[in-house]
Amino acid sequence: MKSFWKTPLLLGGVFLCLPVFVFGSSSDLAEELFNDGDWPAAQREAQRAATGSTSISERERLRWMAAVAALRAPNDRATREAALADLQALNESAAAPESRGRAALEVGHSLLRQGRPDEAWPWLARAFRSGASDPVVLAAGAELLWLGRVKPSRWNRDSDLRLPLATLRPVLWNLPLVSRERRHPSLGVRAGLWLTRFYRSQIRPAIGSRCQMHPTCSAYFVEAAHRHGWRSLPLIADRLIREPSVVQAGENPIYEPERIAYPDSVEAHTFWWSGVR
Amino acid sequence: MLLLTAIPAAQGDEAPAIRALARELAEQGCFSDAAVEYRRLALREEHPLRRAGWRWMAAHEYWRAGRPTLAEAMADRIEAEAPALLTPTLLLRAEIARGDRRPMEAAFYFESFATGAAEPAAREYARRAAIATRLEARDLAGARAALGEWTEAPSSVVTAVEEYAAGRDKNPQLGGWLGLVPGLGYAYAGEYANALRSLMLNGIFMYGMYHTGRNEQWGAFAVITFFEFTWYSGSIYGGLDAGHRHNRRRAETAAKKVRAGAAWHPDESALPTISLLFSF
Repeated sequence: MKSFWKTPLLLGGVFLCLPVFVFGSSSDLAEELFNDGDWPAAQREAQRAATGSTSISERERLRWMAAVAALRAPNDRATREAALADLQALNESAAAPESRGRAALEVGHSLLRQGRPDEAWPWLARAFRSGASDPVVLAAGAELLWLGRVKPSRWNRDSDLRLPLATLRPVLWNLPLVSRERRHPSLGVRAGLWLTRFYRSQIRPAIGSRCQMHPTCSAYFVEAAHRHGWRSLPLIADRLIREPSVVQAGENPIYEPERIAYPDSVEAHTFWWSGVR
Repeated sequence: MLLLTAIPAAQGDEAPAIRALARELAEQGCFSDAAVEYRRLALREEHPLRRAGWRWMAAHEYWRAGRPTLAEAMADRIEAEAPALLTPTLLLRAEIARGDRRPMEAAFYFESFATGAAEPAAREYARRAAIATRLEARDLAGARAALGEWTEAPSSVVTAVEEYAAGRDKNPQLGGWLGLVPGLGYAYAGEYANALRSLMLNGIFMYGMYHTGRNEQWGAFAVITFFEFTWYSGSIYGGLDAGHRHNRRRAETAAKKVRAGAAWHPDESALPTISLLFSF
């Protein structure tokens, strides 16, 4: 009699495991795409795999992965804000300290990249205190040490962190930092970027997009300014002078939904000195 | 027993649909999305060689999408998992390096592929591509050496290399110095329309500086000076860049003649076995 029930139970067990087998590959794919830095695809796959995941820790890891990928992918502001809110929620609700720590660290890094170090500080402090793995704690500690050096008043809120960070200082000091990634553009470049913002918000909506190049001249200037600083000024002047000739030559057209554009990247005009071809 | 065989069958049933989706996405030009679908197929595949075949297709689509880092990550996995696919992966690596403007590396891979390829068409494609890539890198000696090793080289290839050797490059530094006179750097590289535009814009803004300075309109003077600084620095930079552009264009024209429209694509009907078809 007992053996009579064993077979259906076994069959039921296998059926229950079936989604895990099927979706397991999706989680592996998300992991692979994330590790390779294919952010838009990693975001999509992680979201898909999280929907089908039955394990809590796996779902938390996939949620973290999807949110981080959404922040690193070229998404619009609303999507990025939603991803940031998801990471903040994950930091509050996650069961595993590792998930909480990684979420807090990523929120801190994201705010640092947006140039909001004072808002990043409490998230980095949370990541440091989370009891997550060494890489998370060390990365958060390195950022805190640097931010505390730049503005010592930040220590007032979290004075208890001073001693452990001072102890770890020899290890932390040489780690790569997000805080140092941000470049502060020179006065001339800032004026150019302000003009670009003015053009994009006030002039372009009225006259429509006139540029026939890819990327557009304003996007070209913003990209050049962030990558090459003051050299972006001669680069954009050269681009504006060349534009009619490039359009007239009509080589390698790109068919976009509302226009035909002609490729002219920043690298094509900096390869001879930037080392990027 | 029935169920144990049903699990792989359930996964296997989805494979043709995923494959069809990947193909359709690639046909529509969504190469990155097609690559993701090929990666999905690879992860479902247990046999290393078949898995490597799907990964090879993913790398191929990433290359077509202009994403060299991802394509190379795939190529690394293929080489680690299936050394039998080393030869076609060399061709892929060569094309990725060429697309990423690393011509010397690309030439090395093309030459390695030419050595390892069994088919005469594959060898001819690789030899043409190696010579063309060396010309793009302006390595004339290397191009001539590669030509010397190719005993059956067509006369059109020899002529293209010799025509390139007979021509002359511009000196970009000289172009930069000439750019001190607005537009002259562009004119030196043969870009006369750009030269005229640069001269006119600099002339107008210089006059604006003179006029506002003379009338002591210092606010307008500062704004016009900022723009004139931009145009003038653009003239010098343009002179330098125009020289480089000219040299690059000359090399690319010669390379195009050497390639003479040679191309390849994987035989989709044989997938996941990698079989390459060449056309001239």
